[in-house]
Amino acid sequence: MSPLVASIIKEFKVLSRDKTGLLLMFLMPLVLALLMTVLQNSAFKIVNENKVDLMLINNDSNSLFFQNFCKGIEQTGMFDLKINTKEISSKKLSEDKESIVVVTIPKGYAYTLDQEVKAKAEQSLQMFGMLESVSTKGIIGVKNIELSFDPVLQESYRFSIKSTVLSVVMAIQNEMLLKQLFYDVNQSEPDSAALSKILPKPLLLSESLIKENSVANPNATQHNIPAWTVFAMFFTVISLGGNIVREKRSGSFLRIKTLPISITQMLIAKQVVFWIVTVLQTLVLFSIGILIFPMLQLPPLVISSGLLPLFLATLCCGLCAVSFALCIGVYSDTVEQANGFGAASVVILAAVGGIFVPLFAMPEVFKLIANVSPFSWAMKAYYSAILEISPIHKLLLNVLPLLLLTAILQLIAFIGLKRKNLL
Amino acid sequence: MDVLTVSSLSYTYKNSDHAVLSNINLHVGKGEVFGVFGPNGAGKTTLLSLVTGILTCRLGVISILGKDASTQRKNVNQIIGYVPQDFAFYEELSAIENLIFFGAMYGLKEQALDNRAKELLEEFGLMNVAERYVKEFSGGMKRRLNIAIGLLHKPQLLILDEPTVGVDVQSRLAIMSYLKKINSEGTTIIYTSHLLKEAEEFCSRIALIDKGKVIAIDTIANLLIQNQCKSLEEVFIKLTGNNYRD
Repeated sequence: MSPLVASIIKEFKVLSRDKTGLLLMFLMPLVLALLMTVLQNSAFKIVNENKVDLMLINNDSNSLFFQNFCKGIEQTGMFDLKINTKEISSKKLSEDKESIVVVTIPKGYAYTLDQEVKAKAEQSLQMFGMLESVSTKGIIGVKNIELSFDPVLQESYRFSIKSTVLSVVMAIQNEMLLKQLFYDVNQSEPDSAALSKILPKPLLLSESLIKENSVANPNATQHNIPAWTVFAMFFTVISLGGNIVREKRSGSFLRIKTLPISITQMLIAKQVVFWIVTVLQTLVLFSIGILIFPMLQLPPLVISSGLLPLFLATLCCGLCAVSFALCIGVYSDTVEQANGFGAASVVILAAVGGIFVPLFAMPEVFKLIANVSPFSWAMKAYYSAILEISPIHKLLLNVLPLLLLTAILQLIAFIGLKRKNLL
Repeated sequence: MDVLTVSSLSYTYKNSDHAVLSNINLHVGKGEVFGVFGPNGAGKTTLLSLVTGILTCRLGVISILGKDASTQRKNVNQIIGYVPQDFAFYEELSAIENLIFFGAMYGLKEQALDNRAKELLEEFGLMNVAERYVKEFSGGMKRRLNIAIGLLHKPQLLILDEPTVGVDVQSRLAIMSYLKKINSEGTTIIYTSHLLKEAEEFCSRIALIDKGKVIAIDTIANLLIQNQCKSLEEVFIKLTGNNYRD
């Protein structure tokens, strides 16, 4: 058995008996990934899947406009419509918190709209030279449909609701105008077949993801599984950093210096074992994302680019995390120092690197700061592996900062070992 | 041929202008039990650290069986066995796992290593606890294991830094008896301790170090005669004084 193999076996045995370390490295990120995905997924559902409660107060008659308005609102698919035909103020309803949006159709609205449409039709025909004089008694003005919002609604969300309601009203108004023009010209009501021919079809918008090569929809799982995997990898600092400090202090490092092997072999063995741990962490967390999350009604993890880019991202993140732990272990004088500094630095780097909150949801200044966090680089590498079908050179560009940092950390650790006379 | 030759050895720690060792010259012959004694802070551990390669020799020459310790470190480390004062093994491993690991580091092959590990476990009374984690061992058991690890590759030069500190009488007698046995079989031993009575019985020759310098080096009998003392302790006090030294 070569010294390197013996060292790797020894490290595996030591690690396998460190129950607390194993729990920290495997169970903690698993629980965090599950918890955060459940929480973020429910928030995501509120915004994306749940319909907005819309209360419609009709203080007008049961007119054709009202019926078409209800139909139009329902067809948008955005609202859960409740209708109140009793005369009641929108403020009163909002205070009762029955709905977050209240639309009030004022009394006589359908009539004023009808008059408005007739007047506009006559004006149009006169402009086209098809009518000599306008017989309208005078435009009386259309009453306003009143929109009331719950104050918790964001401005952009209000604007979106307002636009949707307006588009429904406009569609009804257009239809009424066309019908009126048809009537004024032909002195008869258009049949539904004729009307459908002249009514403009709704314009269709084609929808796609903004990034070229993107194939999977970003969701809570697609963020949290790689995020907590990266966090878990860097959290090995607690085990590996502590392990190195304990050896330095126990005298076994000194004994190893008197053996006919290089201490570098020992350090390589430690790093190999902990690098394998980071690969296992990825395997466990990603497997759970793929196999267990769907059973828990959570979105499944989808790996768009295949296993090679994923392995490449894991390899580089793992190397960087292990090198970081090595540095902490070399420079710390006590286990408490290694654990304290290691844990604090990992949490801070994770926070600014977009682990807890995705980068796109962070303030601009933090987006800028995130550029210096290896967690952010690691997330970019994982995103390109799971959300896109990227060419390998693009993935290599994403992992390059991690590889550079790995080299720098190894160099810093080497200098530390030399300075402390451990090499 | 001398097993160890130290010539003009001086050492100063980084960020210090005070030499811990100053112009040390000594040699240890084959089959000797050579004691290195001195008050706390005298430079004993620094001397042993330089001989074992824990510290790098920058001024002077250390030669072990004719090999320069600075340039042929790997070969030298194959010759020496070092037993540090601190327990230098893995508490999370069992006794046999520790021996197998350190044996592999010395390049011992599987069957030979297994046999040697069992032989040492038997010799140091650890066979019945071979599979137990070392963290469950008593102080005496740990001390015996610490020594056994240093003997795995049957070193020609064994360096012991206070090998019997903190052990009971039974363990101490067993350890000393084994060390005498391997010395009689040809192993050269360099030994430090504060137990001068033990040293008197064990060492063939000693060096007394104080303030980084060798202040006396000879057989115990000659030192007693030269200093007109009845015990090594008396010689020690006479040459180094009564004051606290650390």
